[in-house]
Amino acid sequence: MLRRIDIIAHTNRWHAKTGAVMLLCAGLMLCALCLPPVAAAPFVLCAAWLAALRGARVPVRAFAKAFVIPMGFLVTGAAVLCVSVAWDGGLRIAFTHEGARVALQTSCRAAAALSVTLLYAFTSPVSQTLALLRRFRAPVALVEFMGITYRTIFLLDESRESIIGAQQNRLGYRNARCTFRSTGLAAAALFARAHARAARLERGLQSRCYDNTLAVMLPSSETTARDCAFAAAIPALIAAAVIILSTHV
Amino acid sequence: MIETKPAPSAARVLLDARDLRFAYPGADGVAALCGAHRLRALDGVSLALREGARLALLGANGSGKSTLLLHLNGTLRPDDGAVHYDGAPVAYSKRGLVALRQNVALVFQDSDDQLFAGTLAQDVSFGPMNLGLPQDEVARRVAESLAAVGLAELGALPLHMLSHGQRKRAAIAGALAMRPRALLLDEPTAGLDPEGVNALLDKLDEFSARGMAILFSTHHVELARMWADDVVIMAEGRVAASGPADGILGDEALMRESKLMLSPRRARSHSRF
Repeated sequence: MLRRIDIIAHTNRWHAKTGAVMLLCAGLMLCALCLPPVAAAPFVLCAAWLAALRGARVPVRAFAKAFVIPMGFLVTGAAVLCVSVAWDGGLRIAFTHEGARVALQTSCRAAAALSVTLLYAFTSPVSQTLALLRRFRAPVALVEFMGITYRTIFLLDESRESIIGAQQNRLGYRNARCTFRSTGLAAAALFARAHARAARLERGLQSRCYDNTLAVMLPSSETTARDCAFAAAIPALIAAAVIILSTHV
Repeated sequence: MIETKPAPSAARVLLDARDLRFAYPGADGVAALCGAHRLRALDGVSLALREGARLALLGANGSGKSTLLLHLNGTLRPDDGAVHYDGAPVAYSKRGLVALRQNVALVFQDSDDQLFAGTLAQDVSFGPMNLGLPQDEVARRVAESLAAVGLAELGALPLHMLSHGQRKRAAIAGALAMRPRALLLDEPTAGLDPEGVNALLDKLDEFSARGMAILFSTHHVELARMWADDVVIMAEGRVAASGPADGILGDEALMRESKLMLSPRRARSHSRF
């Protein structure tokens, strides 16, 4: 899923419009967090899904799959909120209206926020996000750390795949006991490899005149003023609609 | 088709390694543990790389090829001996190393050891940015370097989306963007299929035609014979032989002694098929 999201982020129609997407997502997230959740969530959900699927042309299947998995956890948590558990001469589990109300509000807010997060993840390449952070004068060390982490995640993922493949070939996951042992060994090997990789990477950077900063060229952005205006208008319209609905209904 | 040109023996010496000796930290412990007699990765290595040269560094695994390349680029500092660039000893100060490394670029065997940035173009821009060049010059060099290795269209892609061969070329582009006078490549053909090797050698021909000195390490005798004008054979941290490729590589006994050929028994059994 990690690789799939990353590939889509680099190939979707909005991949070079990260500035506008960031503005849109920030606005939608504010709507999801600050407005009455039950009224705002449908609007925010629709806006995020439409933006991702129609605007950026993110594949429906991939977006839905990424949405469903965390929603599973969310629904489980919400179900627990709906009931009260007491010991009254025996175990009593009862449905409560107050619990259901809290569960509904929490679910609406979380689903809306999740959609906005996925919209950003599926449409914005990390390199563009880091470039934006640099332009916003975020601390250089933080941006460089994020960049190295991004690169390292995929390198470690490749290492993880090769280690686990090698273990599987030698029946390392034959039963629970083997699985437990192999997982521990894989984690230890991955740690050692990460350490060695970091040392070699530093040597590689030194050969290109590394001077303790990872300055690179910023990628070009295709965000226009029109895109930004559009991105700001959608959350503003949602906020207006929700406030009007809340005061008149 | 690979063309060869006469060795530029009259050309000026660009890089000169003189009697280099080097041992990795902890080498004595490892040697004691496995009963090995050899402590030093380099034991009195001398080598000269002339302007425009096409030099292959041949040696079996563990012969010291990679260690030598790291010395030529100033990444490692010899315990004894010296590396001279353009006639002057390398200064291991920050300024001295920058001066060396912008002229002597090193491409590592595992491309992932030097690729770190979010996108290919960003990674290639790393060296020129470190040289303090203006943005438009950096962008020009990135575009030129990516075009030179045939990756001009892929600049916006993240590095993990590139194939093994593309990552090799990306690493070379990162080195080229420094506009070096000498390009050192550590086993550049490792893991490449024949088509990938041909493409790489074609690129090296282009760089060589522009006057760049090229030194690559390998343990493939045929590859060295095909491409290099001169060869240096390394064995156990020492230079076993050096000279024109045709003469040196024709010496079967030397090749066997340097562990660069299959044993006669293997060669015979292979010929039966």
